[in-house]
Amino acid sequence: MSALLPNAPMTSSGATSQNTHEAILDTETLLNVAGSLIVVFDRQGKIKRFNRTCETVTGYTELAVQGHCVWDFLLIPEERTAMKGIFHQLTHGQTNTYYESTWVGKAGETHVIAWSNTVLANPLGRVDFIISSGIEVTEQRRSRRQLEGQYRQSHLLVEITQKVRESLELKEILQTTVSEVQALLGCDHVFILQAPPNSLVHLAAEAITDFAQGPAQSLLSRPWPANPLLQPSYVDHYRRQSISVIDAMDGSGVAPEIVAILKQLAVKSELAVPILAHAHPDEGAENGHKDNFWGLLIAHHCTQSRRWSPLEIDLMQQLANQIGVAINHAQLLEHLEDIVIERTAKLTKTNQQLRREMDERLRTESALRRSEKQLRLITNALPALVAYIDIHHRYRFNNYAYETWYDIPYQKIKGRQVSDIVSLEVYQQMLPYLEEALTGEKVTFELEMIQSSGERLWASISYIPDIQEGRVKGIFSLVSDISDRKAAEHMKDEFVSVVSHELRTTITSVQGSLTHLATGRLGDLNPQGQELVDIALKNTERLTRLINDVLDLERMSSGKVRLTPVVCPVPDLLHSAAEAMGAMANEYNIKLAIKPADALQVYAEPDQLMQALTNLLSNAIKFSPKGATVWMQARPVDSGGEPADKRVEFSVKDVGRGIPSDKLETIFERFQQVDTSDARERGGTGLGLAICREIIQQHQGRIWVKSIHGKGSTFYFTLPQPASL
Amino acid sequence: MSKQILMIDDESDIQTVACMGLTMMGGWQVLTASSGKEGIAQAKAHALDAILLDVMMPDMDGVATLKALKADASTQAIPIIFLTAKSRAINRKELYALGAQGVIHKPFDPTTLASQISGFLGWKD
Repeated sequence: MSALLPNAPMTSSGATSQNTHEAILDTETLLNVAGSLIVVFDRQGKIKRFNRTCETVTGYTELAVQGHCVWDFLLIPEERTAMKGIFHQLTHGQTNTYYESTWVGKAGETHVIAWSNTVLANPLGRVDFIISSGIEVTEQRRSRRQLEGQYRQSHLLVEITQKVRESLELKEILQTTVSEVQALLGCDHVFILQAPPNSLVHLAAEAITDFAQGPAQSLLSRPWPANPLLQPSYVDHYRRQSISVIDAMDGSGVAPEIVAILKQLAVKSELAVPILAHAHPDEGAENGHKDNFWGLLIAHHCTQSRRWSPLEIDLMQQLANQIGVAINHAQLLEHLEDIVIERTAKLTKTNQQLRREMDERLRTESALRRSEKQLRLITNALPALVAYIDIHHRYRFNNYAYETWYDIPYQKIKGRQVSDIVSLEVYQQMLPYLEEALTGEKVTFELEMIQSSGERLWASISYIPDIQEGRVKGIFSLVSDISDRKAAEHMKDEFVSVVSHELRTTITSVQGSLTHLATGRLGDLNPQGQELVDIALKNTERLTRLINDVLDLERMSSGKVRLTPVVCPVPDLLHSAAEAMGAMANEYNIKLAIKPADALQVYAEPDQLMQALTNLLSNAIKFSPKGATVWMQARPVDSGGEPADKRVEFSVKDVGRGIPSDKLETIFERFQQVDTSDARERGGTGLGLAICREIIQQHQGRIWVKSIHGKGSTFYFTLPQPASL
Repeated sequence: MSKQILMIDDESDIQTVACMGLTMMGGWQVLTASSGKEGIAQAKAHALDAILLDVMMPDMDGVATLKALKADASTQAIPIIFLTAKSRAINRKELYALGAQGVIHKPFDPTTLASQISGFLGWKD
């Protein structure tokens, strides 16, 4: 007993049992050979015995602990109250109490010990001593905690992985991650920083304990730049690392700038893992699917230093990987959503465009129908025949006038051949023109036609080719009744013929009578009488020329003169003209000179060409000074190089008074003489050059003049050579 | 040897002027008729060296008269020269084609009329 309970006070009552107990307790061997921790307490909880195992485990000697209660020094503070309760239960009869307690050894280390108790009571039932037998289970408990932690970590990882797979809400995933990590690792502050390229760092999610919310941590709630975590230098430091583990801020191997930041936040330990994700599809395709730095998953411990276990580091690493996957998913989804939005917008736009096009088409069709209706209305109101004929000579469109002309319902003409509608005789006459128009030439011709009533009429027919993409698709045909015009033309011809006859007949008598008088054969006139007769005669001659010129011009400009050109040797023409004008040249004392024209030929009607040449010569003679020479010349000209362009250029040159430059343009117009008195004084009619122009143009030639006022004029005209016609 | 000419023209003034020229300048005998019909009758009744025939006349014009003269054996050999007030050149060819020996346009010079006719017919003065 003394050995077991040294200095134990002996109770006076129940001496027998006491002795028995002491006998047992005295067994020193029993106490110390057992591998268990054995502690004997008195009913106040004071230590009576403290065996060798206890001494080994705690570092305290029995002597040092005797008389002290365990809750005064051995137990960790949080278990002390509970321990007192247990003791109370033990002293009051609850003997089967099994519990675990945590002792703090002399060196400060903790020991978890599982206890079983035996109470020693006196015969009255009062508990005198309590024998506690314990086994240290620190390692078992640690292993169990580790296992539990592993299980919880795996469970968390599975849970988060599942969440990543199931949820597309990145924010929710990040928040779950930090909350769960914070709970699991028991850290003070777990957070995720996002560091987008070309943008500020920001807090994506965070979980923080109440404990960590001291004054230093109030910085965390601040925005950039007051929040040290949001400094670019903090994130940049980790950007280049795979993982950063700081167990304690003792400065060993920790960058000074990080130490400074962590100290501001009173952080004792830190675990930082980079989060990698694919480049955002919008951030350029050049990165492809290469993983880029996205941000950081960080755990801070502030209450004390902490040694991060490989398991925790691995967990953080895996979680960061899963966050990366979640980010990729979210970005992909966002990208997909963007694409869907973009495609939807495109589709909507296309739909709108299609609708607009459809509306436009409908409007166009409606406008076309309206326009077609109007066209039909207009064409039906026209007295002329309007039609569209295809390349197979079939009517594709025709107006109402066809019904009145051919006595066939006008709707029944479409699709029928031209030869079915018009008479064979008319069709044969039309055919060459129709075929010419179908080669792409616009054709206009006049034709005498027979209507259904048998009435003959003159028609002017125009065929206008419908050329699309360089090919003739058909022709627009316009046929108008020109019978009235033809009748008017005929009446005019008659009138001109009668007038010309009547005027000439009258002049013949006047001129003939005067000629007789002028010869003096009917008796001599006195000088004044002779002069008057000469004046009268001269003016009748002029009147005759005027009538002839007016009639010639009328005839030519009305297009009634049908040329019958022949091949004419140019030298013959020049000589004939000179011969015809010889008398006049003598009268005016003018020399006519011809420059030889070799063997040139022109294709012309000789009478007409002679008229043009003599008109020009007549002018040149009239306007040359006495004794001067008038030159006549013809030479070949080659305007293009093509044989068809070979022409002969005629010229008549004088050294007369010339033509002022302002008159050069109008000199070929009717009655446009240089001087208005020329007609009277020079016996001209003012029509000579107009006639020349008509003649030359009808020969497909060109006429022009070059003149220097006061020096003389040269009139030119060109005519085609035979080969070129 | 004096020639005997018939002039058929409905214009008496022109007849007068022409006759004066032919008789005075050519020394010819000139018969006159005012219509084609009258002219044909004259032609049948006289031995003529030539007929000067106006183209445009009422009732029977110059062309019809020529055809009638050419159709009649007693008159078909008489040379016919047309006188015309129509435009120059236009129907000269048609008139020659009908068998005329010459075409003289109005107004003509009465003093040279005889020599013009002689020229057409190849007569020597």
